[in-house]
Amino acid sequence: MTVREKIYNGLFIASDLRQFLLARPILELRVHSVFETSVNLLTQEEELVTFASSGRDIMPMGMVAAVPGVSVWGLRAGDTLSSDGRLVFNLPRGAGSIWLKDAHVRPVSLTQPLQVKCSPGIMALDLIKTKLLLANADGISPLIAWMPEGDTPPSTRKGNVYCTFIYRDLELFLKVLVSDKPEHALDLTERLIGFGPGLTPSCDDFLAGILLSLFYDSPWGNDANNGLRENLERVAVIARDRTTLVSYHMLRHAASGRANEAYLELLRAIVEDDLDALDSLIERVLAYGSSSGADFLFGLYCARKISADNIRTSRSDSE
Amino acid sequence: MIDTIVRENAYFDSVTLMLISREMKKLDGVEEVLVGMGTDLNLDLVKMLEMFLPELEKVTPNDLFIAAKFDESRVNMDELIASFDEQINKKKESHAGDYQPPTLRSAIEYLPGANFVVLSVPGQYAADEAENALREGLNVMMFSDNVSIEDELKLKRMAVDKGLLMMGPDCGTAIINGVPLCFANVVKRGKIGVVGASGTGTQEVTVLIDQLGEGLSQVIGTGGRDLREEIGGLMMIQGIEALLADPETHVILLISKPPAPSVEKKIYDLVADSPKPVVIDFIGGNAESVLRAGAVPCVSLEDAAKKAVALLRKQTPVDFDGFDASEQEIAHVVDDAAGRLAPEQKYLRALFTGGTLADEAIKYLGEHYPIYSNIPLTPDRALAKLEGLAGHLCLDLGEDEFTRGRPHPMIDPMTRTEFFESHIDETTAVILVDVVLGYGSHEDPAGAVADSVIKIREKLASMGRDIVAVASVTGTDKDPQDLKQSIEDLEQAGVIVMPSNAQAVRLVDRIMKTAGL
Repeated sequence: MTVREKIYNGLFIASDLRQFLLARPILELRVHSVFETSVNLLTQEEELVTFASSGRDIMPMGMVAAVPGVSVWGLRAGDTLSSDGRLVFNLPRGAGSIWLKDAHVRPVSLTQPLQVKCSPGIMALDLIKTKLLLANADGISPLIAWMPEGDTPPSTRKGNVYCTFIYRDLELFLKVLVSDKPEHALDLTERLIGFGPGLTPSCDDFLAGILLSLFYDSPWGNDANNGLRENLERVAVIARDRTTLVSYHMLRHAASGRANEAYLELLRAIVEDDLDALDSLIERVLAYGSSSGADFLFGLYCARKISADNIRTSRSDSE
Repeated sequence: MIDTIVRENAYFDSVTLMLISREMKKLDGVEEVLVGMGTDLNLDLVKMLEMFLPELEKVTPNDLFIAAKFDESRVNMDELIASFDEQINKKKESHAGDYQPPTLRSAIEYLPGANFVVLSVPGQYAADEAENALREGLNVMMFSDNVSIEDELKLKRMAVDKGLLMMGPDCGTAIINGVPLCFANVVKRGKIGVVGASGTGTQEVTVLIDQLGEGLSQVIGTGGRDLREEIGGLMMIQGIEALLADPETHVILLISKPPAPSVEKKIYDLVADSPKPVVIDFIGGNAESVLRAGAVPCVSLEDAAKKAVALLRKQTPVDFDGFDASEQEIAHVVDDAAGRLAPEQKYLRALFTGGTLADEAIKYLGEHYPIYSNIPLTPDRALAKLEGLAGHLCLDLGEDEFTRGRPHPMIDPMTRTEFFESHIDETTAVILVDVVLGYGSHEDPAGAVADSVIKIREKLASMGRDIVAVASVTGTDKDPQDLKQSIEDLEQAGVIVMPSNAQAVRLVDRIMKTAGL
């Protein structure tokens, strides 16, 4: 009698992960952290790789497998998965193997240029603001009531303890971002990175939204501030020791235009004013973590709002 | 008392951390709890809250910390830690097994043998996805709208060539092999097959058939443009042919707005040769043409349901344009309602979430009264012509002008709730609404209407006035919402609940006539 080895097939693999694995035939991945629907693994180069169960969106350096939860793999922090060079990973303790050979390759960055509409997406932004106010999430997104343009005195501010603590720093960051030296705002991220509840702290999620928008937007609707885009990766350098490992990698990816599928689709829907798609995408993003999706959405909102205001201003100037 | 614990290299997802934090804050004697990762800024927050202790000096961003401020006479740190551990160890209910394929390809791979796909993606992608599905040999229900008529024609031709269904675009209702899809009600299985080009019209008919004690074999949607000249009724014809071939279907019922003349002819030619009885409700269409084709015409959606049931039971179908209640009861209700209105109360406000139900109302009432609408009977009754809302109003709140950037009012009743607040005042005499239950609909649409009616009645009561509200509930006792409770909630709010949309409309007509509106 032969006992057949249990094989878990990958449904999807991120394009960057596939490229990474193909360039390294022999590879060991160390289990960093285990959650209900995902496992984070570290390479020797400290690259973070995520293996997730079905139902999750594909993420940078990640794959999604046809399993209902990752507990079927029996992985524990510190375990090692070895690759045999054929996109197959052997699970420890004879639990089987994970095959990524036939997984469909999914992009984790936008492959088509965004079709910027004449209208700067005001309805889309209004919808996001309404949804975020209704969501009243636990992180810093309740500040959307006053930001990015608000000048409300502190005494009238509402929100949770995180909002109260970070309000001034966030306000300053956004103010510099709309100034004629927006790249200086990148240095101010030191006062934001790592702050807030969650494994990816709220301000990091917020910054991921800002970075992703900046990466794909010719900064603020014109080409004058390209210095900003060229320096986005400075945020990742600042983040290296100031936040969690998972969050650092999220910021690093966002600074290079990489994010999970839902975040990218949401950015596209906002920029292209696709209101039909927007509603369900907002709901999908809001379901991320306890406040991660909401904080990301808040960042994306601020970036797009500033961009929309700049487009309007430059139009009225030219008239 | 302030205390803290640190868990090195401890990783929990954000939802777990937030739940733990909330649960710990609920403990008696706890003033403040912060659960977070040990980043510099989070520690700054701890300092600001005056909860910082030397143990926190060595934490790293990858360590979890709990800082707590509490009344030590009522709770101690051991109890807080025990609460933390209890929450961590609690087995969370997981929905990870509910696989949601992100692409059509992955769905096909995940469920080999599937032969049906429901598409609900933004319009610009829908046609490509439908084409891929048809190529794979799948029947398609396309909930998406904003698909060009050229694409619709191409897809439907492709489906006909392959002997498949291509329901939609903008197809909201179907019941295939007993499975309700998108906006549909839970009805009995039976021997009446329906092909419908209108969503809530199909829902109303299927619900009434269920209430009359019979069931449905198949309910096939076509999408609203199918019977236009450009499409040629391809899916209506495909649907009729499918029901003709289906041994489980004994009676066929067709629902649509009146088709283009060339399409009408094709359908009548097909129906004329049908060995099975066919009931046709081309809402507001020509009954003579239906009779000439050997089919049975109808005066309302309710009439269509009653006639289909009669034919199934080998009874002679007769027009039904009255009420389930006795004439005496109706007269009493009408007199009571009309008697409650002050002379200044002159106007009808009909606020529909279902397009076909609105259509049925305006086609009946519009014959007798000048009613302004976003789906007017004549161009001079278009909403834009109504200044200051001094006139009767009947709205289909599911139309694009009301749903852009917000959910359909059957999903989220907020649009209608806002209309109650903005368009119903002391000059309003009668409110007419639909309440549509079933899959896809809001969890409690009747409750939302009841709340609005209670509010407006309270407001008018302060002016010494009342209002008449009439509703019908499209739903079965097997729907996810509670039909009985829905009716009770409406009646407790003072709403007159009628057994069908047609009867609700007729009752409103009687009240308006009696009140001299």
